[in-house]
Amino acid sequence: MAPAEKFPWSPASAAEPAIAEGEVPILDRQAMLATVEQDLGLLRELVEIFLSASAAQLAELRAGIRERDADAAERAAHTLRSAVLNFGGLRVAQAARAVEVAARANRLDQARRLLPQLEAEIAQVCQALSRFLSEVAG
Amino acid sequence: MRILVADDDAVLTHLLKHRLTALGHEVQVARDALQAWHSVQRNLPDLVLLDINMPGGTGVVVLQRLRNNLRVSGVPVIVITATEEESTLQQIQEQHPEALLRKPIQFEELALVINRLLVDRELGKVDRLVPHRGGP
Repeated sequence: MAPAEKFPWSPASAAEPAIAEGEVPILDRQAMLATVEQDLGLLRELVEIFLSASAAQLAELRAGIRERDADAAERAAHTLRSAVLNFGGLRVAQAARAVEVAARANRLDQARRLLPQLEAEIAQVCQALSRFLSEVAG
Repeated sequence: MRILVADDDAVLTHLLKHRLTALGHEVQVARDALQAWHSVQRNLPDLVLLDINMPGGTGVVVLQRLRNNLRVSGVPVIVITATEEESTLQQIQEQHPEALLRKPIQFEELALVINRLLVDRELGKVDRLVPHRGGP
C-alpha cells in the first residue's frame, strides 16, 4: 500500500482572510489535519463525503420545516452539527444548534427564520473546505 | 477487535472505519438505530460505538434493548454523542455505558478507552456472554 500523503504543518494560507480576535473561525485547519493524522487522501475523502452529505441533510431539514415535522428537522440539524464538528466548524455548529433547539421545542417558524443563516454558514464552510483542498493539492 | 460503529454521520463513520482499521480492528457500520440493533444481534461485536441521535429510534433505545437482552447485554458500549440535552445525557448514564465521549471525537481519547477495554477483556473483566451488571 502506498504511504499516505502527508501535509506539512503550516498556518492558514495568505489567501485566507484574517480572523479577528474573538471571532469564531469557519474551520479549524489544525484540528482537521490532526484528525486525519495529516493524511491528505483521507481528508479529501472526508470533505467529499461532507459536501455530499451536508446537501442531503440541508434538504431534509428544509423538508422537515416545510412539512412541520419537528423530529425530522431536529435530527437533520443535529446531524449537520455533528458532521461539521469533525472539521472544527464551530460557526456552522452554532447556527445548526440554534435550528436544532428551535425544532426540538417545536418552534418550526423560528427554525424557518434561522435557516437562511445556517444555509449561508454551510455554503461558506463548503467553499472553505474546497479551497483548502485546492491549496493542499497544489 | 470487532467493532460496530453506529452513527448516521457519514463523515465520522468513514473516519472511524479508516483509523480503527489501521489499528487492526474489524469495523462494521450501521447508519440507523434499527440497523445497529440488527447488527448487534447478528454479529455479536466485541464493542459498539453508539451515536444517540439517529434515524429510526434513538441510541438510548438501542442501549436499553441491548442491556435488557441476555444474549448481548455484556457487549461493551461507548456512546459518542453531540447531544447537549441534560435529560438525554441522564438517560444514557442510567444505562451505564463503558464510556461516554462527546463530539467532536478526539481519536486519541477513543483509542485509549478501547485499549482499556482490551486490557479489561484480557483480564476477564469484560465478557459479552456475561449479563451486564451495571456501572461501578
